[in-house]
Amino acid sequence: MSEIELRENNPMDSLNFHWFAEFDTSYLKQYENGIENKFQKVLDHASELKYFLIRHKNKDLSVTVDLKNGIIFINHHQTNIDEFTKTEKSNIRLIYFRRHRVELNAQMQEIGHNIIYFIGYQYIDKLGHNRKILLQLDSEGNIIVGE
Amino acid sequence: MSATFGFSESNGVTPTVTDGISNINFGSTDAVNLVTTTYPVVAGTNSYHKAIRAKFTGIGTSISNMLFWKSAGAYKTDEVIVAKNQASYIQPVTTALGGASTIPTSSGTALTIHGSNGTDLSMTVDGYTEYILLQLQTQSDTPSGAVNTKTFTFQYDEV
Repeated sequence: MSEIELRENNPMDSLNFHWFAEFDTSYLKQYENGIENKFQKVLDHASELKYFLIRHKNKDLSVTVDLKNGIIFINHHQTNIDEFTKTEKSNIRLIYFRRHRVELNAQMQEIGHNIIYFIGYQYIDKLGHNRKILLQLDSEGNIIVGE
Repeated sequence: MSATFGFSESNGVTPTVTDGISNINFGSTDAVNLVTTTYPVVAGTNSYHKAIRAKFTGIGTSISNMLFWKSAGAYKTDEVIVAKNQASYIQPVTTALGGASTIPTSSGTALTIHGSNGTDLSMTVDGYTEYILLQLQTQSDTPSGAVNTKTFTFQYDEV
């Protein structure tokens, strides 16, 4: 996929991973010229989505989902987390969300705020079963396979 | 950029809504940010229940899968915090909170928090969640003095 610089300084941003979406004829970055694009724009054009990736803003780490073929790449290396990589896949759909876990003391002050990034895809296999392939990344970039 | 949230408490008949509360101390009066030494809960009684909501601002696309539980803080003898979630406001009282159960202590059993109408599983515009009602309940043999500090966890998914 296209090598386009994702990182952009944004002092208001608390996220360690930023997203980038490549469509059939265009692309969209989470941040462009200091303005944040809503993820809804990606959902609105999901049928045209070719690749979706998140990249760590301070580390050399990216995870890319190929929505045309149902493949996940980590730093451009294809992963083997889907045991059915070579089987027929249809209706491939992106999964992406951030899970916030906020610990609060009795003063309702945050004493811990952990963000886990979930990225992957789901599809219908040749038997008609819905299958889900998902990675979790913490803010440091540690990766867990599955939910 | 992530959405942000703060907790809000409602008190009184109308009710009066206070955003950005500084504590959820349980006490013997219906008041926000109360001081427990001024309004202690006597052993064998219940606190006034608390009616709190999370208030989100800066929602990008949606907030969903909201969960709330007590994640730390041991009880003293026959001390318990009960909780329930619902859309409608109930003026805080000291009678046992009807329909409430001991507050969950893990994400797997956590209270599922909905949007302000009590049914929506996601929020797409800024605003309040439904109410989380909490009450401290004690028995006559609950030791006097301060209870242990509790930690609550609020979890949600965001895109």
